[in-house]
Amino acid sequence: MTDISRRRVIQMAGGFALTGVAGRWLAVPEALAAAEAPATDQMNDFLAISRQLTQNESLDENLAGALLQAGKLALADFDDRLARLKSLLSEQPQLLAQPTLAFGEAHAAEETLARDMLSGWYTGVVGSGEQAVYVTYLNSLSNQVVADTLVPPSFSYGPCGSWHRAP
Amino acid sequence: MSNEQVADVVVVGAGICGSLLATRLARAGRSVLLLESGPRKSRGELVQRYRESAFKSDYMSPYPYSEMAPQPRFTPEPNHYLEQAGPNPFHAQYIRMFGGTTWHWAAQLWRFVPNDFRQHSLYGVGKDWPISYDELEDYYYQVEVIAGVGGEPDNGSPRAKPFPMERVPASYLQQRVTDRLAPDYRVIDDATGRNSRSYDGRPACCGNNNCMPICPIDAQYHGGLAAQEAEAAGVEVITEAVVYRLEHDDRGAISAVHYYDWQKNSHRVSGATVVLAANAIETPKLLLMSTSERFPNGIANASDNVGRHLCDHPAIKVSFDVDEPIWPGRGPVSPCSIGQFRDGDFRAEHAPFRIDISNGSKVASVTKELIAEGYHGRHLEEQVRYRAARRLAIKNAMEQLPDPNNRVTLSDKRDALGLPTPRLYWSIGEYERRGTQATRENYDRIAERLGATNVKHSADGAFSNRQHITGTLSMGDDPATSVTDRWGRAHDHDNLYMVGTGVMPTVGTCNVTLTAAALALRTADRILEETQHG
Repeated sequence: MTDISRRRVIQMAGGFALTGVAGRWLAVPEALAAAEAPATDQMNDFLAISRQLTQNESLDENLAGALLQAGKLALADFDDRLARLKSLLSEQPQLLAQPTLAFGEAHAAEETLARDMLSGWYTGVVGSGEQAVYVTYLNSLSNQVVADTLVPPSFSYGPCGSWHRAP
Repeated sequence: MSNEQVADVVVVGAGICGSLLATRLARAGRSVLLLESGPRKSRGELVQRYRESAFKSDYMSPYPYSEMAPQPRFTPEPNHYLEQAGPNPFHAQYIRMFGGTTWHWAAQLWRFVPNDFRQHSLYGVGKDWPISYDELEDYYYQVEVIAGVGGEPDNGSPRAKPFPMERVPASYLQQRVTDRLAPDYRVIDDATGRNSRSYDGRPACCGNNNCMPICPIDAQYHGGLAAQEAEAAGVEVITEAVVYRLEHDDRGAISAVHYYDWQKNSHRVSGATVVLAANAIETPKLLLMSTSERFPNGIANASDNVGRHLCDHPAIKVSFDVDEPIWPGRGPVSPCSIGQFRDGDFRAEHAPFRIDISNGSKVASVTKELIAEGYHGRHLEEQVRYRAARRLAIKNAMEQLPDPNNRVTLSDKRDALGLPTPRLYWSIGEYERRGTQATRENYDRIAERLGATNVKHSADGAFSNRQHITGTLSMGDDPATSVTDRWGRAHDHDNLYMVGTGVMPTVGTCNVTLTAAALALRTADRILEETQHG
């Protein structure tokens, strides 16, 4: 299997869902109905901040929409914190100049949201514990980052023994 | 449903051991009723549940949970089904479902080494078994054929016949680690029930790297397959049947089994023979619940041994980044190990152990780690690739000596059906702590040989259990110190047998399912022999 085809398989197979935990499995329509539809402005803000945090200009807008919905479901004070994070990064873009986030005590809430957004994009899960919401698996960015070498667990790598050769 | 069913044999628990035993009895012409407390789910449903889980690192997450047949859960929050009463928590994981706990495993099917059966005679510690390796050898092979086991033949466990399955080719990770640790450490293929070719109607492994929590294609053998086979052999299966009491007659023989369905209707079934196969925690729980005027401490418990000698492999872990890309995540998750510390005169001084090398994908875990460290943007992606390519995780399977104080009892809590939940006491002794120190020294040497950075050991004094739960129904020749005899029959009740890992007197240094399954087939043959004349 070539790298290109593996990436393509992942992109084609991946869908988005919002799945609650604690034994309750939400169908997508149910989850969407449970969440207030985000305003266009908020969607634009979410996508813009996500691009800043990931340094990725080609983020999937459908996935962004699902992650935003999940954030509104799973994260406390999401709307307010998103607005504050937008302001902070607009006023102090140098905060993202270092490899690791360090917004300082005064902006701890915004930094936490930034990490939660990164978790959503890179792991496909938003929130934690009882509030965790599954959004995507195949399309999480961490799986995309290694897609030339690995497939996400539970998907076929190749014929038996194809893993014997050097990657 | 009849409220008064009768069968030649009633088996409680549709896991791998109960199912293999039931199949053998049914094929010999016995009527067999198999009661399972949990539900029945298909592999497809379980795979979907895994992929849509927010907690993929929790091997229990794909498996359904019901308050009617509760099992220990640890995510999103612990359900505290198991009450912890000892100094070391025993976070048992087991699945109450048609097929049992080997739905989630790495199909490790190891034999003990012969000296494991003579631990006390040879080394002055622990217990001897009432049987020898040689008495079990053919039964080991019978299970290996059923499951399609392959592996390194020179692994310390003598064989009369070759493995029935050719080994699964080694991953690149395994090759690099093997080369770099030789000659001081000999890394060998694990003994696993994993197909390298089509076998028994199941396909060859195609590297889904998801043996735990579930193989999506049944390339590895598991209890769900064993339970399906039992049903195909004519065993009558009733799921969602929670056994809560064993009834005895005036002679002390088990005359009936009582169970609740999930609507809490009570049912009574009877059989000439009763076999308990409900795992090493739930079976003692049932025995302890079944009190009467004649047996005030429960069934099979005249000598107060039921639930005692709880053992597992108290494990410590280490992870680090190797100085070259090895890319865990290609091929099976648990393919190889180091076995040279499983036996030797040192066993008089400290616990023996085996060292397991993981090949599970580390992408998810290093991503969470990096985000917790604050990484973002392209540095995050660079580090995900760097660490996911180099991260190696190792843990040990270290023998714990049987200690009567380590035990399963009943807690004061009640589940939704009003049944007591288990209370566990688990303590790690000095013998194991010295073995832990020896393990740790080897971890450091291995890490050094692999040019490790970012080395992370388990916290001092912290042990995880490996879900190799043994000892609580120990077999032995002396009724004063054991629950079952050498055939798995209760000392106190002629028609009551037990199978599963609980009957194993010691835990050895390997995964315990093959030994328990071999014993289960041996018990089945004994039942057939004893009952052949009706």
